[in-house]
Amino acid sequence: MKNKKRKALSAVEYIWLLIVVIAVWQIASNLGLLNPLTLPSPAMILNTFISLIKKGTLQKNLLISSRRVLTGYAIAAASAIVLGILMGLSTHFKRMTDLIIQILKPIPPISWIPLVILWFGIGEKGKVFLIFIGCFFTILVNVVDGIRRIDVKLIELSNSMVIPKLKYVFKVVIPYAAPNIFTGLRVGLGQSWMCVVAAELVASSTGLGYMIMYARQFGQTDVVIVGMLMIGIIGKVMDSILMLIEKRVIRWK
Amino acid sequence: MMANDYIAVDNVSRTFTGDNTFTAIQDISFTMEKGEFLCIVGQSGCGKSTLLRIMSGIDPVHEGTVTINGNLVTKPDKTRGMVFQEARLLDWMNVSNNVGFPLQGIPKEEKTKLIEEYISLVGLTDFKKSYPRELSGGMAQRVSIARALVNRPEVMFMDEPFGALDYMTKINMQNELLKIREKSQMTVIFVTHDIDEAVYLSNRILVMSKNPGKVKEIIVNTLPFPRDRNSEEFMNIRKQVYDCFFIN
Repeated sequence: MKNKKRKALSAVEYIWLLIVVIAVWQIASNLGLLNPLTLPSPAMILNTFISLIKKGTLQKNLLISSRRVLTGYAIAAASAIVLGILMGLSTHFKRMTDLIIQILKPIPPISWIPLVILWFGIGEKGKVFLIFIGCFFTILVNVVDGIRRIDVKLIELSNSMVIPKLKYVFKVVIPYAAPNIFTGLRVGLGQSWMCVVAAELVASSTGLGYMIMYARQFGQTDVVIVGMLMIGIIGKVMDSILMLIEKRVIRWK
Repeated sequence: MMANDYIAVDNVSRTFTGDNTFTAIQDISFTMEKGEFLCIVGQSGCGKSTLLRIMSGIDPVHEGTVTINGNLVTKPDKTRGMVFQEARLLDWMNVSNNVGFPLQGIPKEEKTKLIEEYISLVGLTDFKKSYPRELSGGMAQRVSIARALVNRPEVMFMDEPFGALDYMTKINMQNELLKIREKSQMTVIFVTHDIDEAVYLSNRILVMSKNPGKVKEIIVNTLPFPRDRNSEEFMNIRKQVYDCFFIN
């Protein structure tokens, strides 16, 4: 009974601020304090949301954007984990690769657009590449950091037991770095969604990013906000899924 | 040094270089017979652990030589086991997998059998599926001892293995260690700063001095097992070790 009560309280704690913000926003709109052209009311946004779903455009754009994001993200995650483990394990390899990575890292994904058009044209590949660039470095840095943090005592232990290198990497180093690898994967996933609008700026006629930019031209602020919120919500859902996977994988904590 | 010594430590010195160069141990020489239980005692910082690391092959950078069974020690080897002060278990593996971790290239059934055997030897059969976070300090150290034993080493190196345990647990663990050793007949080199513990466990006690670490004295301890910590003979040997530290 007490437990149930606590759970309910914790749920209230989690969502109350969102509800208050929406309520204040709606009230302000009803009182005429907000210009519906610059900031439509929550009720209007909900209406637009429902009509976009009825027309099927929202689902279609959501699906296409998700596919782009997940493809770019998956490629980035796989390559960053492999490269990160190698960089974390070998000081020489890290030193050889570090400079170029540190220089590429701060370049904003959006500034890659001209090159992306030249290299990949206007197809799907360029969009996936922009997402890849947007999250690869974050994941990489976290993986390298996690691997390099390995406890010297466990290195010594493995040494004293003459554990072969591969077994040491898979049974000691990677599990030890797993929490950091997951942090990288989660932050990276968020960043890949942040890049979706930039990616869909390139000669696109589909996707949530396209939907937002297209609606802007026609002054459809409600559609813009629906698109923004969709990205936020799908990003949060995917992060929660990743968190569940993390809990499953890192059972020992 | 005699040719038939099982372990021979010959003029071993270790200097650490860096901002502050210092000599941790200097000109250490002694020999051991097979099956002997040697305790190394000394104050913290006297180089006991350094000596142990060199003898086990973990620290290959030193002057002088260590030979075990006629072979020069230059790197760690499966025939030598090592137990550290902390259990150093792998948090992501259960007790069974931790104990089986050092096993390599053996058929699965044999591996399972060995793991079961050594888990039961340290009395943790009921906990074989438990994870390290669920174990007490004493239980964790038992797992680490089982892990060091599972390769059936000829020589066991123990670096203050019971140093972090409470008094009662420590006494239990000492008794268990003696039982295990009786069964396996392995040679043990056991580092401790606890004089009582050294007298209770060992055949000989090597007392080290500090700055730099040198062999001060080697005290022979022939008390019959089981030993009574309160007997007069026990107290006599205890006093010998004690005097070695605090007189002159």
